[in-house]
Amino acid sequence: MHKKNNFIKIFFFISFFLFLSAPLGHSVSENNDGSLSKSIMEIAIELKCLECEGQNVYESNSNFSQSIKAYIRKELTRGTDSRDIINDLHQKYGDEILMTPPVQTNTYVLWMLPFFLLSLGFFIFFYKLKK
Amino acid sequence: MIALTGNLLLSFALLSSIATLIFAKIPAINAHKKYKFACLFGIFQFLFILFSYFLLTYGFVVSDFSLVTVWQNSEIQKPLIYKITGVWGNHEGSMLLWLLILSICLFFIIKYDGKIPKRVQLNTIAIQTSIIFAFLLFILFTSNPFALQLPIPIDGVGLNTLLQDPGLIIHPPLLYIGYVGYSVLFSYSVAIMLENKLTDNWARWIEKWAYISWTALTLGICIGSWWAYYELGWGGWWFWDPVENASLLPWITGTALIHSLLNYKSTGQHRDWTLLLSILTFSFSLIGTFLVRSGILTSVHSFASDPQRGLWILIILSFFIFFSLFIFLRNLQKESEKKDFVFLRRGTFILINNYLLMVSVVVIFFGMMYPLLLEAITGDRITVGPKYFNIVIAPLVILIAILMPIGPNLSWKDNWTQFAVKRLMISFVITIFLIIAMQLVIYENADAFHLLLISLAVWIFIASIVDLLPRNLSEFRIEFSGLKRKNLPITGSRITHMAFGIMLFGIIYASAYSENKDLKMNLGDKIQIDKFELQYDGFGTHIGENYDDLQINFSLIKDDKKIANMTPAKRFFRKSGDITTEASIQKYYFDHMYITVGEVQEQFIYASVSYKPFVRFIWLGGFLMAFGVLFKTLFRSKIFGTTNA
Repeated sequence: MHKKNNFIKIFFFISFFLFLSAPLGHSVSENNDGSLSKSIMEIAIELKCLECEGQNVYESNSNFSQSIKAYIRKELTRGTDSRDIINDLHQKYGDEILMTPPVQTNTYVLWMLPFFLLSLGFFIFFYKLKK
Repeated sequence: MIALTGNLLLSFALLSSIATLIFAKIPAINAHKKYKFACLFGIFQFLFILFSYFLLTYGFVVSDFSLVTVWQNSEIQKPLIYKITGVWGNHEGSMLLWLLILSICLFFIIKYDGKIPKRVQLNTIAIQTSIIFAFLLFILFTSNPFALQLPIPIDGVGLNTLLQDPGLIIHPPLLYIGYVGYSVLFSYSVAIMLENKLTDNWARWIEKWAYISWTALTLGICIGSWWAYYELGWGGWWFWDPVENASLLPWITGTALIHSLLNYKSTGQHRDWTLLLSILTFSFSLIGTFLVRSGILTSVHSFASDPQRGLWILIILSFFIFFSLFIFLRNLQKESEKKDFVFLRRGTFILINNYLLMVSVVVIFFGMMYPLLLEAITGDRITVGPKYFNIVIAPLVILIAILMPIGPNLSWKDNWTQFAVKRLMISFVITIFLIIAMQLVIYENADAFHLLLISLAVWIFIASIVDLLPRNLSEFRIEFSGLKRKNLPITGSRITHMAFGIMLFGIIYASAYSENKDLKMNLGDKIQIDKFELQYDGFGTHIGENYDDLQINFSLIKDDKKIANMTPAKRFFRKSGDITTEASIQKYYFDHMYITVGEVQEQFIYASVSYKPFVRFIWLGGFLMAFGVLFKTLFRSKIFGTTNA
């Protein structure tokens, strides 16, 4: 039992340090030269190129992607929020354009399954352990 | 001429496979003769397929455009190495390579697995042959690489330009060795299931196949990922693309299989589950092939897809899956030995490992198929992209990473020992101090989630190394004087676990702390990225064998000193007129500076620049993982057999 106590002590000691050290890092400074383009990438990577096979708008050079990228650039320069830009495009082109499926009625199964399976595992595990 | 000979060779191979099946299953003649003839015709299959493969390669090398496949995928100007490897750069040729590896496996089963009981071996040969038979039919009827066309065109269409790359030389063969290697495990497993009274420890026979296939598949995936990283041009290394997923699924089940085999070998438990896993692994190889070649799932790996081929593969895969599952269910052994479920035991951890890995398989497969299912049922179209997979896989990886170092420290039979506790504690403390030190030295804007993930990667790495340390001083001496034979396979496993830690570290670090910039640069412009400066110096040209490069010159500067020239390029292929983007990658210790160029104008260029810290750990870890298992494979054999006193 002596060992176990030590274990707990050391665990808390270390966790304490872990929390202390978390904010130690300095934040990376943003250069203004690339900031606009960077958010184009961040938005374009979330959108699927509807003309291509399995590529997102950012990596593709199709007409569709070019026009979407131009649209994003235009909207960003006008100061539109990136979330609004995505919402507008979602409205226009439907769910398919979003690389990540939204959580809604027809995707509940998709989003829930992994967590269901994981909890099932936990349940079986503790049930067996108890027995 | 080549077309005719090729068709003949494939037909002979088909006849030989029929002969093998007949001899293996015919009851009339005596056992010895049966075995002899089945083996003989098995080797004939191998030879015929080998010759037909060489013939197709010859067709590519001499640019015989009377072959449709050669005409569509080659050209006279193409460099020789890509003529040879271009054989597998297309659907027909790659299926022939697939077939060739199937038959090489058959050859190895016949020639080198002689210690296995003859009945089991004969059944294995028969099952392997039936797989070869099915694929021979598939190739002859839907994807004949020796299809003839007249009149003969003067020049070929040319290889898909993205494929003219060193990646093509090595990536597909390795991947196929992995996929097809699992066919051997499949054949053995079905043969073992057929023998109900088998008491031998069969895990010993088949484990080397599990290791070799896994090694090849791991290397294949790594090289594929590296290829995509520098060729597709924006510095991603994993896209959750259907074709990548198709290779990841057998990789995960293959990993589960290796662990389950270890468990069976040591405790004799979970025989059925282990056999089922090896069936599943090959089934996923087939399913992957089906999904990709049929065009059901679209991907950047654009094979000329054809629904008819899809139908064929669907028939083949349903046959083998249902056949094996039928035999599996008929021969289920009711494991009567009492299984007391004790938490802190190695076997239990392997079960948890298997559960988590299988959940990831189900989740990835479901994510791949969900858009298809949804569209078929409701007509709604959605996209399931990389972010979904990252979100759902992350908790699984975290759990695996927490438990991964604990399992190997536990014993198969006894309970938790003081010793294991001590080791894990040491690893834990070292990990924590390393993380704190890292935080102090490398100033990064770490958020708690990424810090946790990085700590886990370090935890795996450290615990695997600590686990390799000998238990006491006398053992230490033995280990380093005579390389204690017993410990070598364990060393292999720990290297692999350690390498997984390295890979995980690279993945997390590079995704969390990469810096990307899309820029418009004028001549002489300098930009700051992380601790570097990058200067645009103008452009030049370079003439290649069948392409011309427009090279854009950059200088990479650190502390006012130029440390490298970087020359990303636009590559124009003369024949097809295609343009590809060639990234320029400069390594800096374990980091990469990655540049690709978009539009190039007289006055300015659009460039995309990324700084990716520790990104090289991803492939370093991957290759080391493969090395560890290869090491284990080599030293599990009889090399050190009786010589070590």
